[in-house]
Amino acid sequence: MDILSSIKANIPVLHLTGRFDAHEVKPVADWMQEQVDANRPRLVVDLQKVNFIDSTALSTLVRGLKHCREQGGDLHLCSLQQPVRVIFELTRLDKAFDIFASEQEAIQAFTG
Amino acid sequence: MLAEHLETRRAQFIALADSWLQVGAGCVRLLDGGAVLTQYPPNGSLSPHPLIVHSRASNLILQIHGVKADDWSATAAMTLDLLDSLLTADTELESLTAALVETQDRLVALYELTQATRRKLGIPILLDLLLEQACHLLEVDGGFTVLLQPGQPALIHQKGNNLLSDDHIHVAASLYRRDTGRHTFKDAGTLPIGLRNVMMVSLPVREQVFAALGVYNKTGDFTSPDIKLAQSIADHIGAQLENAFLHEEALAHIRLETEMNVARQVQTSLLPQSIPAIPGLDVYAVSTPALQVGGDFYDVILRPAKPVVFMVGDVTGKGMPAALLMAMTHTIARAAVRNVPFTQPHEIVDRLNNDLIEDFSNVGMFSTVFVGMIDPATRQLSLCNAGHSPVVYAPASGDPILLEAQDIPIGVLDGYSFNSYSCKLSADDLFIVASDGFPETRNASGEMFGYERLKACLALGRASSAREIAQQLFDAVTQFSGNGPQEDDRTVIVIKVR
Repeated sequence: MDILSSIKANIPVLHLTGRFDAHEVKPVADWMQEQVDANRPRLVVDLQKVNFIDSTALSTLVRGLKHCREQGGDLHLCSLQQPVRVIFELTRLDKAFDIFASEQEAIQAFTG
Repeated sequence: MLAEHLETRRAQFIALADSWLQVGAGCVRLLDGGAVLTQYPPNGSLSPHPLIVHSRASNLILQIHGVKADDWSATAAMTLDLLDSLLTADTELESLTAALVETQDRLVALYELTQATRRKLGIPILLDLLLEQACHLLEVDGGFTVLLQPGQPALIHQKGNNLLSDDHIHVAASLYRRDTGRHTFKDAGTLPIGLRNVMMVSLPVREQVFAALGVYNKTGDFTSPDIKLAQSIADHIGAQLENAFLHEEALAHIRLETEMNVARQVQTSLLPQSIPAIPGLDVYAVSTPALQVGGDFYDVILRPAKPVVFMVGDVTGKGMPAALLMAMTHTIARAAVRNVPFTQPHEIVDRLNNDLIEDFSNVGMFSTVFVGMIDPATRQLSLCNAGHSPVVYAPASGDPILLEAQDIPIGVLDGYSFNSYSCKLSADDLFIVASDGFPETRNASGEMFGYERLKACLALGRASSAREIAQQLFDAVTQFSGNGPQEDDRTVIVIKVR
């Protein structure tokens, strides 16, 4: 899995590519922790190029979501592919996360 | 030394002196430089101008008193040659003996070196023995081994009369690491104080490890044969270290496997050992854990004069953390069902979420949970599905339907309110709650079993008993996976209305 991070309108955005599973969660967890520790609890994770997500990866996102919210922020997800969207729907985690159609919308939801 | 040798050769000296006395000499004397080593007879008469012969091979001087120098000088020279060669032979014999003893010593040390490794010792004791023998063989003050693994602290072991500081060893190791073709370093400002000379050779252990054997402070200098000997000792140590590592890994693996087996037994014993008979319903439930302990649980609980409760849960992840949280979740759920007169499934799930949100958050996990309540008399079913799948309802007349979860898993949001839904079942209806270990089973080409195959399997076997239907499901995924290893727990509850 490839990981690329950027900052857009002061919002850290993480772009993931490929399979997001138990073997790939550490750098993502580290990145989210780094942002929250640096007092940047409003994050966007772009899943546009992710074609598979497993339960450990879901846990990692849930953990990030909790940390962000504890610090008064939030974790927005965007651009889910169909197989990934299905997993969010099956687990109903689509009710826990704010999920956006595009990166721009996910950022705008923070910046207003 | 010469005096000692002369002592052992005294008889020969006297015999030679005697032959001189017979031709008229008064005394025969042997000198080493200016000092008299011996004379015969002890009180023999000395003349002011003896015949004097100087050795060509040593510092020995022979004086023959009381003979005419001109007549006897050639014979005297022969006598001295004889004495010289006798004494030289003795000296040579002595040094050969010393060399023999030394070689014997080294052989014993080499033997010890090989023997040290035949016993199954811990790595520190093994290194201790190996280094001791290496120092002995190379005749140095001390030695050390240093192992540098990426992301781990340096592993240093040393043996010697005066131990070096870790800094000294790091300096030596980094000098060698810069150019592993260079083995010896002499003090020329580059070595830390206290190190006169150092020889380093590499220890062949695992590829990603930089490992070296160092020995230091040899009297004189290290020679090329020393490097060769050190390298062969290092090869030996490397092989033994590798063995010791493998041995330790094997032990750790066995320990882990034993713990995993115990964990799996505990986990299995927490699940219902039998399913109670329920009038009006044919119920079967079973769970097969994956090789690694996992996080699935299920239960079927009869309550007097209340609907039967059945539940399935799946804690995210695998291994001990998942197994521990699964045991907690299951225990709290069972206690809640038994001790609190809940009438709706979501009350149980609310309770689980409130009780466990902190624990789940601490370890960054969550759990899907399905709780159903069914009244066998009225066939009324109410359910709460917290992110769990697959749940399939197969009406007596009609295709199986996948029921999607209505709520998020437990352990995700604090204070979340879960919901219950109800429906009425009819005779021959099928209701199945499984875990994602079924649909997510992969075949050799990575394709998943999926929900459609699951529904098809249920549609096909629906006339069978609950137990047979469960068995057909297991058979279908096992066949699909080509008997590959089971990657996730597989759990299923099958309820068939009679």
